[in-house]
Amino acid sequence: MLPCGVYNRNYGEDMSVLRTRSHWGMLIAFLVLLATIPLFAGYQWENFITLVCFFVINAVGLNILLGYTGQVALGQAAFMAVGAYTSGILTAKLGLSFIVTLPLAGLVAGAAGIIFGLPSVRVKGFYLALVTLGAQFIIIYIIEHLEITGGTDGMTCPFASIGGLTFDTPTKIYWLVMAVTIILVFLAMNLMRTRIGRAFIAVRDNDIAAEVLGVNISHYKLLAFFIGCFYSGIAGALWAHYTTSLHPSQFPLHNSIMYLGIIVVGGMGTMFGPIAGAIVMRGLDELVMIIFPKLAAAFPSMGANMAPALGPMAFGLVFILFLIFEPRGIAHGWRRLKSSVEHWPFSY
Amino acid sequence: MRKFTLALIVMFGLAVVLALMLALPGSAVEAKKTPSVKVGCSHGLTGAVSLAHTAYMESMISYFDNINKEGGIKYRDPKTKGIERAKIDFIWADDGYVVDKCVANYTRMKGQGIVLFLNGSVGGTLACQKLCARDKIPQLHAGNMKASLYTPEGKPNKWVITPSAAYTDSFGAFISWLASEWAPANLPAGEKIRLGIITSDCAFGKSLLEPSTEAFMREKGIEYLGMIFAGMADIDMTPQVREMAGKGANWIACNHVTPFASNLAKSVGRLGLHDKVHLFFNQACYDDVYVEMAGADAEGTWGVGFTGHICDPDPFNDRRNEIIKAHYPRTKVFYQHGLGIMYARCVEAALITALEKHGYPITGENVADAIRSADGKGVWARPTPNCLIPGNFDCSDPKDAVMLHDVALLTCEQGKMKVVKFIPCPALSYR
Repeated sequence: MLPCGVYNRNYGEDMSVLRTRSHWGMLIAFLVLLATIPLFAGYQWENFITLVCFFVINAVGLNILLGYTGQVALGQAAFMAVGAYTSGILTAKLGLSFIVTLPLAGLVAGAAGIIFGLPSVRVKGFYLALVTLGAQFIIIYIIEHLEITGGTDGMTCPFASIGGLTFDTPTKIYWLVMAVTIILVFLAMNLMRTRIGRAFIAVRDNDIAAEVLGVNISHYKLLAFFIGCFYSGIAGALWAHYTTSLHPSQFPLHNSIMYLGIIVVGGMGTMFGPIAGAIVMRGLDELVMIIFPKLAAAFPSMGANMAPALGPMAFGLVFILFLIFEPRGIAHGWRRLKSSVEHWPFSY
Repeated sequence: MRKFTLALIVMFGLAVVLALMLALPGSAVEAKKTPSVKVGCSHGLTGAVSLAHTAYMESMISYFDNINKEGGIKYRDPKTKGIERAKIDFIWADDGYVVDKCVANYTRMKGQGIVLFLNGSVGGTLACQKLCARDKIPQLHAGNMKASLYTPEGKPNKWVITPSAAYTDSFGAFISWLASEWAPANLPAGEKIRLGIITSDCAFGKSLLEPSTEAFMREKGIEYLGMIFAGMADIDMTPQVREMAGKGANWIACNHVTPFASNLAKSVGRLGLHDKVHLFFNQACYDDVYVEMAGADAEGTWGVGFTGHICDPDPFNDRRNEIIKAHYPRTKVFYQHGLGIMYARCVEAALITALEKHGYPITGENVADAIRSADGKGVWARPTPNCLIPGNFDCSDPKDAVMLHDVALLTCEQGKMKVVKFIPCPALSYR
């Protein structure tokens, strides 16, 4: 919503993301804040935001696939694994530079996405969800049985290195992950304003109508799978060089469900949703991990695992509450909140 | 409805802010009495291996709490030469056996100033391995994987300390015994050992096997029948056992915690296969609770174990039970609690050694050096009963060298675990 007195007078203004000087000012201030967080915030903040970024990249990818194109996918963690192992193997075994392996990881994961997305041409809804769930198991099974991946024993890879700069400290990793996240969010935001993005939305809203209008739905469904999995691959590559150790158990079904939860809580089909969802879910995770041991300490008769067991219940409760009371997620609630503040005291 | 939505958003905003505030260095959460040494611990208190990890955690919490109630650990300060005390600030969290949660726990705990990190998940151990090395914080873990024990160059990893042989090594020890002793005495000439694995579909369950283990089985003339998964819940495994028996298995191996192992034994019993199919359990799942839960079906099953089994007569064990019961009165103390106490005592020994050498405060590097001091024994040489390696540890004595060099072969007879012998580990992890 534009501030009072600001009107769009041409197509360019209508399409611009940042319409006013204050928009630009806020964006620049926000980017400066993100870039300088390591300078004034502690190690924990850096790591918290870094972990949020992994969630954001994955959730944005899934949002393109599910939120914008309507293709249910339950295997994002496995596609992240494809990217992670691609980058890990290429850097550790072939000695390629991270700047080369990062896009390659995305491309390989995207290609894997196309393979598992092929059934989307014929099936949708729950059936497609089951196919992508299959991807989660098949990909992890393959990784566990390949010698080059180290199988169930895992493998190690070096820290990311570009030119002479090695991203081996939390601060350097933060900057790297943050920069990639910003670029990917920017690209996704703009993608949705292109012909491709509009085709995705058309496929989501009514694929038959879209086809009648000349949208090649098979092409766009597969493209959505490619882009969604490309994002997961990039997240995987960053993760690989963040931990520098890879094991199939790092990419469980639990994470795939979590990414789905993030976009449900954040709001599907919006760019703000996955970001807000990732921050909230990661924050809730932190809260659970900090609060419940204290609860257990206060009530030792519960045993050490009773209080932590409330954590998964809390997550379940959050999902249920959002599905019942705010199915359009935080993004929708935020828009309403903003609107009511902007119209105050004349909000309706 | 609309008001509720706004309240929901505000509530979540507050929750996130609260979480972040709690994570901030110098927050109220961190304000502990000094001097204290911070030790971090992330275990899967929920999830696939919660039974074992909860027991570890309960033991450690109880043990450190008990130390702190007594005023903290005692050490001789190198500067003042007087006896000083330092409390152990034990920061613990559940990771649900999920790797990124383990990493999040580690990074948060690192920010809180821990000097030692304990964890128990296979994937989490690997994920934190280099982070710990980079941050110079030693990692004491229960997920005994080749990749965490050694650097890619095959050298021992200074920053990773583990209580026992790698899972593949202890399984390899069993394979050696099977081929060299069991088969000649029990199988007709020319008949092969046919071994299959029934385990859970999680990193821990699958960690018995790596390419070197399969090669080792082939080398020993064992026909490997493959791996069948069963769910991690308290379920009947009769279909899986029937399938494995149908393939002609005379041995079924498993690596998981107690309910899984006891259900496997019950399934074999239910099918009346006890005389035809023998069961083997790796390290952590062959314990007293398994015997109790499996009942008569546990008879004649085999497994390899930690020193926990051979330390049972130790007088400290009664005290151990008292400490845990005082903190968790309703907990049933079992073998995994013993391991937890071992971890705790190792931590205590490591901290005392580091404090006596460097004085307060100590760093992670001080603790790592204390653990691996020059004589090769490190803190294990301290007269600390129930440490991971006994206080009077001697590599040349097979009973003492059980941890990294040998494993104890155990069997269940008349409802009791019995140590049959100590088998050398074939060091598959070194290959």
